[in-house]
Amino acid sequence: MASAAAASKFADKEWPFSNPWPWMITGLAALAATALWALIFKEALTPLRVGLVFAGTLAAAGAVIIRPDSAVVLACAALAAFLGAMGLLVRENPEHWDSIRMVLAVAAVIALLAAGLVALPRMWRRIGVSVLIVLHFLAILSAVMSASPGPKAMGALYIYVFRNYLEFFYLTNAYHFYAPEPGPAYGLWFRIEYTKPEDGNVYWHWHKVPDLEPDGTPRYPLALQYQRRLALGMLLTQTTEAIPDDGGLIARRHERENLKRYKNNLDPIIPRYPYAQQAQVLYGKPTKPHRRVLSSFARHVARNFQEEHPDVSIKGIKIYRLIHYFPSALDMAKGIDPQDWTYYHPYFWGEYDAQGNRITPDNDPFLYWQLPFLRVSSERSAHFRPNRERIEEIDFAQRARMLLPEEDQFSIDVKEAVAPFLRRDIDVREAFRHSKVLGYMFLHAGDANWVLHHGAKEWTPE
Amino acid sequence: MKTHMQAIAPVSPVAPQRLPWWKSFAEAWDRFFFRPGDPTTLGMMRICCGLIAVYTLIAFTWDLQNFFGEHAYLDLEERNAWRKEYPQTGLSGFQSPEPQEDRYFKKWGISKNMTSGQGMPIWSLWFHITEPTAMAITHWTIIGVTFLFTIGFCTRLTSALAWFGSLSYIHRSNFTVFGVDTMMTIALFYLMIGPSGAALSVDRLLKRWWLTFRALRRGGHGESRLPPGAEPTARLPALAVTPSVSANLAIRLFQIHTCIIYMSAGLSKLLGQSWWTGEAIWGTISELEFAPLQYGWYRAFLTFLCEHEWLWYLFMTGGTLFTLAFEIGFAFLVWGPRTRWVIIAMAVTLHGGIGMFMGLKTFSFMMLTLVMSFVPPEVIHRFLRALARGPTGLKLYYPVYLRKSVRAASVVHALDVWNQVELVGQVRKEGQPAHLVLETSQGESLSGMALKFRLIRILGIFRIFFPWNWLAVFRRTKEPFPEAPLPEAAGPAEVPGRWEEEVEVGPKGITAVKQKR
Repeated sequence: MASAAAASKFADKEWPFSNPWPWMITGLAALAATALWALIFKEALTPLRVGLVFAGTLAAAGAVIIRPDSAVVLACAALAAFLGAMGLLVRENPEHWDSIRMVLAVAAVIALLAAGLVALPRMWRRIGVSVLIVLHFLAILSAVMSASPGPKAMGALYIYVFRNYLEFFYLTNAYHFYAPEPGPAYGLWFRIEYTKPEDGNVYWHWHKVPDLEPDGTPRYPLALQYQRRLALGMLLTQTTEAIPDDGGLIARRHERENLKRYKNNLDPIIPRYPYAQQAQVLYGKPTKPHRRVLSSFARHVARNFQEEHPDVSIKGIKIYRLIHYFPSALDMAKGIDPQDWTYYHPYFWGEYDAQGNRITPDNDPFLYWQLPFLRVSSERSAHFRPNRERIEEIDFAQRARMLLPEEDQFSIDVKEAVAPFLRRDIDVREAFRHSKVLGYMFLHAGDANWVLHHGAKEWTPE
Repeated sequence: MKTHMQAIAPVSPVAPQRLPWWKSFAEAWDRFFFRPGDPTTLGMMRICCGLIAVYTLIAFTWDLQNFFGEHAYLDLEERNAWRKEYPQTGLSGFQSPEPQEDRYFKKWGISKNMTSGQGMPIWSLWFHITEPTAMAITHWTIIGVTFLFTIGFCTRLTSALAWFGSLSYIHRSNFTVFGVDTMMTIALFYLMIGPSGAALSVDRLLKRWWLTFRALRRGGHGESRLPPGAEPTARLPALAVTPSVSANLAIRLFQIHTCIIYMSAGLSKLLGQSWWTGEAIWGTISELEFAPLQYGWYRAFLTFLCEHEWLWYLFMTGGTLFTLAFEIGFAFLVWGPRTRWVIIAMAVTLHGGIGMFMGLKTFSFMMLTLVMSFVPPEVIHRFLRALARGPTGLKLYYPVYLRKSVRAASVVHALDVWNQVELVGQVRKEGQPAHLVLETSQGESLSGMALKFRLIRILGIFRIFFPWNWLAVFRRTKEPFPEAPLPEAAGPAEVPGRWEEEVEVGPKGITAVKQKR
């Protein structure tokens, strides 16, 4: 039988993508052209040049994929990556596609390293790869173990050796999930104050990150959108600066403002959270880099609001950080709603203009202070009395428990008002029935409605 | 039939030679990392990771400007300041330098000489593409590329592009990142290193099609005019998945990294008081922002637990101990064949709980994808076979002299991963149909659209997507299917050499099956 194979032109045909050189030559040519282009024509027709860099890089990458075990192809790929980086370099504008230039430079180094590895005999190649594996996992371990309270040696290894590698590939996580303790949730509330041209009155709108329905259902179509906003609030707000040395001065400012309010019988005072175990519970100042981010957030919120309402004029944006603690099992057993407002700890983080400049001065008495939600008896007035009137009634040992140097001048009255609702040996549901929540965050923000009576859905004036 | 007998020298009873420790270690290391491995597990992980990545990226669509635009929450100006100047803190040394209150100090709150460096080596397309329309086009291109990666098309290229695309989002908006992104980055990184498209992929189907088509064409199939006396004949190639060193290496990297993640997560919990008192779980399941407290049934469940103190302690302590035992024990127990399934079952339980009670479904799915690296490829083969189970013993008759028919027959053979259909070439003859005919085991003959629909109904590769097949999967794993050898089920890597087949297809169907090592 004669061979039928002879009749077929397919007899010697290989897979169409089996020759790397057309791809590599095309890629190199395109990338060399872009490098020249950037050198001569600078930033002219940038989208086309950048597109050509990406196309050339893909072609060179295609060649590597076809023949990944060829040292020559890999060396050419390194050259292609280098030319690609040159194609994105405009000397007059160093920021021009600088981060992608860095990626291409790293790719060139990796391709060169790979070319060296594949050129080695098998045993040495495996030794080389083994060294890379060890270094990679040493880097991972340095990120894991440098987190507090890890060994300092690993911290040094992370900071001085592996940080760039890990940050480039985003492998910096220490994987300390829910450790050392499961923590509360965080959020950011923005109160946008604006005027309308027709009446000049001041209106406001609360923009919440993340935003939830009253029953706790997220107001986003996809769960991921909600979780990203939750991360946005948490990553920005969970770190605060240590209480500064002039903590006493900060406390005195707070006290003086409250005493002034009391004496002048103007606004009700804004008391401290009465059961703070740590000073950070009373006062939480964001770190400097995070304060810069807050400015950016304010700009974004203002811009979005302005785009939605082009005819209004934004006066300012007050930012509040909210920490939401989970209820204790005992509270839950006693029937307290996990959404009870007293589980929220709001902090005032400054007022910003639409350009993101902080309007609130540094010496504002309530800046970075917690403005608590307190549950008190429904008959109780929101005007607390200072301790001075009864100061002789408490002994010094009790007064010494203040965490900040300054004594809290309203602690006795506030604690007395709040104490009945912290008892768990009584019928809590019955006690709550005759109570109200004082929302000092809303009072501070300027909302007229800052009192929530038990069972009511809307906040009301006092 | 001739039989070749190989003379085997008698083996003397000598005790095995004990290797020096470093040599044993080197051999064990070599076996562990550089033994060829079946890429099927990697392929399955690619599909799972790709699905999560596509969903994650689609979820960004509504927030493209909010998170990545020039005027995002963290706007471009500020993010650029961070990447160029952000103070990298060093270790507090024995002698701290005097702080200098210069411009840098005013900007970042720390003196420059107190830092170990400034800026971050981060990168993103969104640092450079800021025009909204261009952003939308780029965003959808990244989604498209990630989808191609998920289905395994041009996987070597699309895996690198998917990694590049995903990290572009993460580096641009680090304040919106959480666990799922961290794990996805790890998975995409290793899937890019390993041949994740070598199995369960479009690439694989294309390769199968090409090998079949070329073999048939080489044998003269599809030629309308053959030399006098020539008869079309062809040897179908072996289509088994080829084990590779890089597949095994990538799986090992996955496995080690997963162990580090769980070990770190477990040990860091031991620093917390509530993990010792057994109350930590309460903090995770009672948090309004994560737990489904908006549902009355869930709230009633929590209240019921709290009203029964002993039940509450049982649940919380049990959950806490379970979490610690799983996370710390994972790295020790997952390697043993006997304990592996116990620890994988614990992983499914834990992450199922996290998904249900803490709302972190994508994170849980991603973690289970990492755990999947410990699932042997044979189990995945068995699972897929159970899903794909369909009728066998079918014959596809195709006219060998028509190139179109040969191409169609090659497509069917490429898609027929579980050898359900036998190809039968037919020479030109009076009364023979000049088109494809499918003959079922019941003697039914189908052609045209009916043939296509029947193939979609019966071929395993399509049956995988039938929801009713998923319901019966556990029953079916015990049933033998199909009787014919499984070309996709490559032998485990430790078996030296594999049986491969060469099937000879002539005008009367399969004329010979040869097996070789």
